[in-house]
Amino acid sequence: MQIAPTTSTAGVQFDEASSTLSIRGESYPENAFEFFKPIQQWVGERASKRDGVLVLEIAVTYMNTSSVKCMMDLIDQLDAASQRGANVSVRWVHSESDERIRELGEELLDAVTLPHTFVVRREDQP
Amino acid sequence: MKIEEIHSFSDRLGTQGVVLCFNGPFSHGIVEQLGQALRRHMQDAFARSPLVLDVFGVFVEQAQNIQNYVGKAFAPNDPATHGLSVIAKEGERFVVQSGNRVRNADVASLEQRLSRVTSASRDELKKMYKQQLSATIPAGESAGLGLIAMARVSRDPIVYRVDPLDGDVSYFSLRVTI
Repeated sequence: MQIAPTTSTAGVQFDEASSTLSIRGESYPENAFEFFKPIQQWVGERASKRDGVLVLEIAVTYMNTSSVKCMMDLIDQLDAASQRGANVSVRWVHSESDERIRELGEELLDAVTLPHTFVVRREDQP
Repeated sequence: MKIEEIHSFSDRLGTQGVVLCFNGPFSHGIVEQLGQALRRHMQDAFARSPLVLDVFGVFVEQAQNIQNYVGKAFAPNDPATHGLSVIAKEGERFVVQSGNRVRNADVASLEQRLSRVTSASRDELKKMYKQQLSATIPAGESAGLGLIAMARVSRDPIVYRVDPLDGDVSYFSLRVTI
């Protein structure tokens, strides 16, 4: 799974060694549902495998509301897989000054039982 | 516009604190480019303030709402698909406003959704947002979060008006204060 980033769509990349699917950048596509559909499909297949370890790393710096909705659906999908016993988790990455993204992460992860962590990146780090 | 009017037009934009104004057909490319210009302009003055992202976010929601709505309501290339986006600094606040034509047949449901968010308290808006976030959205429909998100970020209640133009079309204006 690999999608190159554009001005309004996030870059998506899977690292097999760490079982991490990272979504980075900004997301305000013309059609968020279309953009997220292949990601949701890929995550669904991966999370349904018995040994399907998956860390979803979300390092977005801006999302429009339809992307937020798609991200919520993706997290819900992982939450359901987690409840079925899959080894899945979410890592929410934001820079220390980015309080909006922090608040958004807290809202999206508030109601899930899925293991999740917040990682605060210092401003001088890439 | 006549050449003699350019100077007064510029002065008028200046006294009204206009930072960015676009009037015309909204495409995704236009949203991207105006958005980038808006952020670059604001970042010079406000560096990493969350204000920049809030203003940008409201601009994107308004512009994409216009784009999605007029694309369904009017024929392609119909001048009725043109919309307006204007961002201005009023004192310490940024005001993000938009305008577009709407079919009269759609006005009632639009006003219903707007009156729901304008009459809600902060806590109610948060609850509405969470409810909508976990709702199942039928294919082809919008996430239904845009107006709620704008009302949440707006420092004053959001303001809207609908001015009837003729038997079929009205003009819809929306004001969000950051």
